[in-house]
Amino acid sequence: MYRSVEISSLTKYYKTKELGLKKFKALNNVSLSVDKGESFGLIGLNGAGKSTLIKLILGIIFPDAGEIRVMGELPGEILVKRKLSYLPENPSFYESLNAEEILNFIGRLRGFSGKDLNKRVREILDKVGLYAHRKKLLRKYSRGMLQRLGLAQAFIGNPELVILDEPLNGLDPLGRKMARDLIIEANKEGSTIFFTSHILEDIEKICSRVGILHKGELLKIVEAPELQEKPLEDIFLGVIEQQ
Amino acid sequence: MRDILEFTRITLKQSTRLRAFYSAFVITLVSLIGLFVIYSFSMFEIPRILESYVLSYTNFIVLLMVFFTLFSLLQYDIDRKTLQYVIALPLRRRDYIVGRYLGIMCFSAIIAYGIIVLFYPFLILLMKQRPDAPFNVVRYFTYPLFLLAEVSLIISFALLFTTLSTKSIISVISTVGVYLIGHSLDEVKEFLLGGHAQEIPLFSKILVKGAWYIFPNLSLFDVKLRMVYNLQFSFEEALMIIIYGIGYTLAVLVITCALFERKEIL
Amino acid sequence: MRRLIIILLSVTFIFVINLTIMPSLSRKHRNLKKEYIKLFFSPSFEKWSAFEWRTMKGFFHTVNLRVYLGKLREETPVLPPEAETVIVKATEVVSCINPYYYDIYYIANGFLTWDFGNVEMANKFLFKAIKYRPRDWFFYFLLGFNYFYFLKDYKKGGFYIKKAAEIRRSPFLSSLAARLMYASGRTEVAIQILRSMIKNAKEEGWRKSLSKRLKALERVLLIEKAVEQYRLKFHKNPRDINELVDKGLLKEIPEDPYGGIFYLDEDGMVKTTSNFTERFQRTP
Repeated sequence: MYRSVEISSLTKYYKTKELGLKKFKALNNVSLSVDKGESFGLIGLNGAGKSTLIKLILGIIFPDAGEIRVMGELPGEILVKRKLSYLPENPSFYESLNAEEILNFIGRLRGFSGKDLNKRVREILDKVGLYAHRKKLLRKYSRGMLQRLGLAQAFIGNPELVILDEPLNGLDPLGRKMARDLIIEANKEGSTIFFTSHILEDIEKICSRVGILHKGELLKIVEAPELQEKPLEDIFLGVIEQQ
Repeated sequence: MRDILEFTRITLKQSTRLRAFYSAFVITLVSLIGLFVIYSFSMFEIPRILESYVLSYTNFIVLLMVFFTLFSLLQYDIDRKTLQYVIALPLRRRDYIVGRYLGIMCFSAIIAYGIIVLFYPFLILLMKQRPDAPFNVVRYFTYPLFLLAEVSLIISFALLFTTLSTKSIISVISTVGVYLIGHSLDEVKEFLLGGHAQEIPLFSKILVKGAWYIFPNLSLFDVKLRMVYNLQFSFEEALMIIIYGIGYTLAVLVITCALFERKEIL
Repeated sequence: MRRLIIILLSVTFIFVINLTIMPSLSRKHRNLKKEYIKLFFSPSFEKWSAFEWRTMKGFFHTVNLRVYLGKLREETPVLPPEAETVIVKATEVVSCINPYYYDIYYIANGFLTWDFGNVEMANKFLFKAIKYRPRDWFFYFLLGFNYFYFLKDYKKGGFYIKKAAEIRRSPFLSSLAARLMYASGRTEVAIQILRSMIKNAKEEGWRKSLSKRLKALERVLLIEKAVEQYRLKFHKNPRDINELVDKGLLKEIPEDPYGGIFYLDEDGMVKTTSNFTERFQRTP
């Protein structure tokens, strides 16, 4: 039985011109693991390394040291990608397509087809409130609509691992509630959730465990009991101020 | 395979929905008028000049649309970072490369044959008025194959440069560079190394010869003169040209996929 | 409403400037363009810069040349010397870009021979045309005509027209070549051409006409052979045709089928008073 995400001693450097072609340490010796069916939140200030960590998990970039295993395999393997989904921060899809086409495309990549696929696409579009706009080209979508589409493509087909980078960005209060409900429902149905956010309130409501990332280092993992005792904001600020 | 075809479909959909594609369609209808204008301007061998016009126009529009499409699609993938999202989808990295290649190739084939077929009845109508030169239908309809072989190379190089660069405009400019070099190679080599120029330094000679062996020789695919003037063009030679195009393309795509496998999409 | 008025006013303004200022600017530009026609780069650069569109570039250069020459013709019946430079340069460029292009050779030959008397250059381009279009009889024909008419080289003229006749399989051309060949002394060849052409002639009237010429040439050959024998025997030209009969080299002076009388000129060449032209005979 594998863990959804298993990271040990992960380090990642970036080359930057600002530091005179020196290496900038984006992540330093990070270790964490996420069990199957868990709902894990990752918080940190801007530039803490959250997006970097997500990209490493997805196999978009590669580590300089350490190891990552996603569902027991190396990141980026096709078998892994078929079982996970990803919602990037500020998603940008191909604007000459419409929502239905994108979801059909992703659904087919995930192995669905025919009437089953049509049904799933219809259901998810309904859930995110985009069914009426399914034939509109994405270049006519608002920021909030794109975010809803992002959520739809992340949850279609009930993937085993869902990775969300600031999923509630750009949504109005109703949209945020919808998103939260989607995430919680998917988690209840067995999907592992890994998500990052600035909005601690959302993390508190959704996640059972929270990791605090600061300047590339994983300072603390807040377990469920502690989360129920103190507000997350207090825990977070306390950890940051200690640095 | 299924994943490649899915991404090919998406690429084809994107290409046909570009605003440039609709403009090209309108321009093509206008250029039909050009056919009649050329007809009235010519002195002799009307069928040849009409056929030249159609083949040249097809060549021009297909190349234009390929460069436009490449720029638009790559702008999305590279500049707006959609590529990061696409890489995370259940798609092998090489499927992205191959899917993009096949999608734009299909798009090019549709345009090339669309124009050839659209112009054909008008061509025949005008040729019948002044049939003072022969017209080979087989050669007319097989011309697009050579154009597509050339386009195939251009697309594969564009994808290679996408893998190597971080800005879409650099990829496109580099691809245009390969196009210009590819068409100039034969002429420049002949001119510089054929004793027509004054004494050139050894370094330049090595550079020119090296370029001749590395870059694709795109002038091989310009068979318009042979098609229009019914020059000697054996089946074997035609096949060799197509094989050269396909083989070179495959090599470039393999290199691209290999490089792309470990490319960090920042 | 206001926006509509602004748009209408703007459109009207566009019409006004196109009707007033633009035409005179265009006239000046077109005059300048006459100068541009002379601005050809080197043939190899023009060829390279055409990339894949050589046929169309060649076509457009040729059209420009025709327009330029047409305009010059309107202004003056005698073309200025600079026009010759332009024609030569344009032909060099276009024939380099697309050496298979028919029109340019035709135009170049037409102007260079008749307007500028530069037959040498015209022939140079015709040789290039023949190199790239060896199956086109017309360029051989033009060459033949140039040699015969302008350069008065009957031998070469006949030679090239014969080549044209071979490609075209034209009885008319065969007859013409034969006539020129005769004028250059190649009577045997002329006879051969006529014989083959008579075989292919389908029209009875045309065959009759060709047979008459053949008969005439055969008689000329008879006399020529007699002259040759005389030369071998006596190491000089015969005084006149009667001497050939006197010396027993000819049985009698053959009859000219065209009604003339055969005679020898000072060089011993066989001539006839009819000059092989069919005298037009009116039937009463």
